[in-house]
Amino acid sequence: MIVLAIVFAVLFALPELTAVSNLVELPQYYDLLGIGASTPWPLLVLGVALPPVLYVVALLLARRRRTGSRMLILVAALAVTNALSFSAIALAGALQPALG
Amino acid sequence: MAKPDDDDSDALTWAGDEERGVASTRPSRGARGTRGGSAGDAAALGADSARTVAHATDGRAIESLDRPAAPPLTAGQRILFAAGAVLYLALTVTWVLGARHYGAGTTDVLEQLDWQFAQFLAMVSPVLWFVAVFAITRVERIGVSVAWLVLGLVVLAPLPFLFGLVLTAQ
Repeated sequence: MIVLAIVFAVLFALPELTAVSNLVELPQYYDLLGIGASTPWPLLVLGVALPPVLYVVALLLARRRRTGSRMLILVAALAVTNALSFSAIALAGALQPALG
Repeated sequence: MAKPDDDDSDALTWAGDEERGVASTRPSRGARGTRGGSAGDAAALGADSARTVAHATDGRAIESLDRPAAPPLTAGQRILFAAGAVLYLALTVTWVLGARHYGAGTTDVLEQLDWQFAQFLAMVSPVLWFVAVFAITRVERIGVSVAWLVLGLVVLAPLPFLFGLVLTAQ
């Protein structure tokens, strides 16, 4: 379980890094475009919060299960994390069509 | 020159198994049924061989042989998972169509790889959710499976596809 948890921690860190990068860079980009007031702060913060939250939820759901089930839960949670990242990008684009 | 039967034996064992005391998975000659012994004898010999293999290496039972099989699906579960499979397949198609429109926006190879990995996972997320729900909740009450399948449809609403359609229509 420890090895699986570490491997998936690294995999969940990828969308987390992207989300942190967005949180830092996107507001500056919006400012450059002169639409700084439209920065989608809730989406950016949600993007940073989701990967660790889903990782912990997946670990809790995977407790006391066989290795195959654990793996399935963690892979599905990782996929959902990435899907929600794309949903956030789509939502940001829809809220600010100039970026689309 | 080795006889053909010896070749079969070689293919089913590792060199040195005899020295290590590991039993072969190959049933004995009598277990073949058609040439020697009755079918009942053959089955008994085959079962004995399997049990021997399961406990041979270090005394621990091989998990897959001892684990009870999952109970068969009820009629309600069959209908639920069949309908779920169709819905989630359709959801996967919408994710493939929706997510492919978003580019990494960078020329850095590593960032592009990371983006494509994320994109692929997003596209297959409905399939993974459905498989996980099916594999894990099939032994639970049907309500548990329904709840997880409905939650998946909400969480994995194909926003990239839907907003792509809206933007295209404008």
